[in-house]
Amino acid sequence: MSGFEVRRHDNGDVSILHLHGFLDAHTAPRFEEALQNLLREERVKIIVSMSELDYISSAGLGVFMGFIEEIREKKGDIKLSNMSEKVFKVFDLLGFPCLYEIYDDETAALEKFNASSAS
Amino acid sequence: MEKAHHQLKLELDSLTELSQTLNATLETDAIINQVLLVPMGRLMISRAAVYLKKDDDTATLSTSKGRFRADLPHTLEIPKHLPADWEMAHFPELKQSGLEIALPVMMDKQVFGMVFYGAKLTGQAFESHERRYLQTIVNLAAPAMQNARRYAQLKKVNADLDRKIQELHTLFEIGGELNKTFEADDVLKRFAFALMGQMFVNQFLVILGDENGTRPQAVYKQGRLFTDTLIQQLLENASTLHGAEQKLPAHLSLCVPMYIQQNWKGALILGPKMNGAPYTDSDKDFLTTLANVLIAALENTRLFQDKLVRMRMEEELATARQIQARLLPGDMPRIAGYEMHGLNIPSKQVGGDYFDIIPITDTEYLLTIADVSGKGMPAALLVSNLQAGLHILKNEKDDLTEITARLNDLIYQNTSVEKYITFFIARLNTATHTLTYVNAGHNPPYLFRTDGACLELDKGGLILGMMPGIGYESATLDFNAGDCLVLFTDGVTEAMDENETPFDEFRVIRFFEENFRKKSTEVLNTQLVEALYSHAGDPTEDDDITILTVKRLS
Repeated sequence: MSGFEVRRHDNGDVSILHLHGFLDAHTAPRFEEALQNLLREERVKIIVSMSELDYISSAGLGVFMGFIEEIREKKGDIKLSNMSEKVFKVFDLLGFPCLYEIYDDETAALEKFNASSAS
Repeated sequence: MEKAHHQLKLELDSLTELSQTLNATLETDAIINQVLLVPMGRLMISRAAVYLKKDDDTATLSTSKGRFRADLPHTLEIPKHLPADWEMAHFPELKQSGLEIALPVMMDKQVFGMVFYGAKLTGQAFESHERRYLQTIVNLAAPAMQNARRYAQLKKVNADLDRKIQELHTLFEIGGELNKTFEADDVLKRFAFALMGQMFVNQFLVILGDENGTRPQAVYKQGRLFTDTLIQQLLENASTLHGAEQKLPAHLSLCVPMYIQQNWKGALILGPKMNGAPYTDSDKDFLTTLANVLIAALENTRLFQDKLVRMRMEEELATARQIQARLLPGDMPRIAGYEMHGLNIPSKQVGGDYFDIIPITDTEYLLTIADVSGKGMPAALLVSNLQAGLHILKNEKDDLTEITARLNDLIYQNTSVEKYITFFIARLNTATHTLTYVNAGHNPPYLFRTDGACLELDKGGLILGMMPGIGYESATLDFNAGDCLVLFTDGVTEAMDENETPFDEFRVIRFFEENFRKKSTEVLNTQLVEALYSHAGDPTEDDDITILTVKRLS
């Protein structure tokens, strides 16, 4: 049916996950697995870049919720970037902007990570 | 005069500027800021506040600027229509905080808010033109505030609507998704994602009872809140999780009980939302629906698993039945001067009956019958074991007691003690017309003689597989012309009627005594089975039926 893909790029101690396609209840376990792998490697500075993400459902957002607590406890964060207007609307609707940092592009998110680790 | 003129111009300028700003925005905050800050700057007022109504007469503090002598009240009662004689004295609390002038915000002759200003820093009283100036500002801002208020309401309605649509979308998606999987863990995981994303919550617990709604267990947990102690505490008081209005332990926010047709099946217990917002009625509706979808999917999963187990069992039984069928002889051997018929009706459970006729020489045949303890696949495999052992030993040993002793050791070694076999073996010599046999605990076969005698063939020893290294006895009988030998398993004698009365040995004996002289072995066997069916309905419900009948022709 609808395709979904996660690609990972490591940049120093920050990992960037690029999401492609449709993230819904069906494909959510694959995104979960990608985050689980990062946690297993103790990589907790994560940027989720969504320029290629066509659609996200509540279940897709649920994956973020399942990890954020543990990641922040380990002094990491999930920062979000490159959302299309349509995708942002869902995040906004469900109240995500108040707890997740959302950036226009990966560079801005990356700078934020680097700035906070430098200080 | 010059100064007054100048002042008027300044006031006009600020009013013009204000009206331009007001028309350019729909943000309530921006408008209110203008209404407060412009006069504060112009008249050097150190504090000001705005109260706005929502729907009823209660107005809430919208914005305040400057420092106050006492905290401003959060809400204020303002009637729609102010009495003609109202004045600042109506608001003593605000006066105490240091506010001096009260100005109503009016649209369509109705008051929907109040703007208050404090005294001037100079300490001078407000002049009448200054009061007029302030009222003008408020009047000017009123339509903008009204618009902004309506706009904000509309935005909220729109957002609520969008949320509802998103909720429906989630329910729709999850409904479809949960029907695709039959693994309870998958169902719970997908449910968890939908719940967390939609409700902005990352602390929750799913408790599930068994099929009767008792013995609840925690089946899914998300978040640190649910410690083992807390889960234990919830499970011990599970009966309190049957209704929505529950006294939950502190720091838990909500319990959503799950029912199927008024039967309690479990509960969804939620911690607070991540942003600290309370659960609204709309949230609760959504959660109830989502929980219903979950419990229905879990119930389906359970039914499916049950069915799967049943199907696997059926398959196993079918295989066991095949094994058993393959071990039984296909065609009856033709033996000159004798006539024989063997019959096995396997039960649904596959009981593990076995019979065989093995030619040794032209005049010697082994006849055997056995019944293995247990049912299904294990029984079928044990029969297979016995058959293989017998077919090897028949070539090595002549003596039936030795064959039986070796089989006993073999079965003992290969099985646990509670597995055993009742076993009967006989060698028929068609030259001497003698029958030598060993009975290892099997229902004794009967030899019916034409003179009316009925012999019980019970010499032998212990059943196979109970004890190693034991010996067996054998006995030898003449097989006279017209004699009839019948071997059978306990499926025959223990076939029960509806009053639990077994068919019993005496009915077998009576049947043969009445019939063996005039009927062929095939007819005898078939009619005995008919008698069994008329006695017990379907006797193969519980056990196999096996009969082997041999007659020496007269």
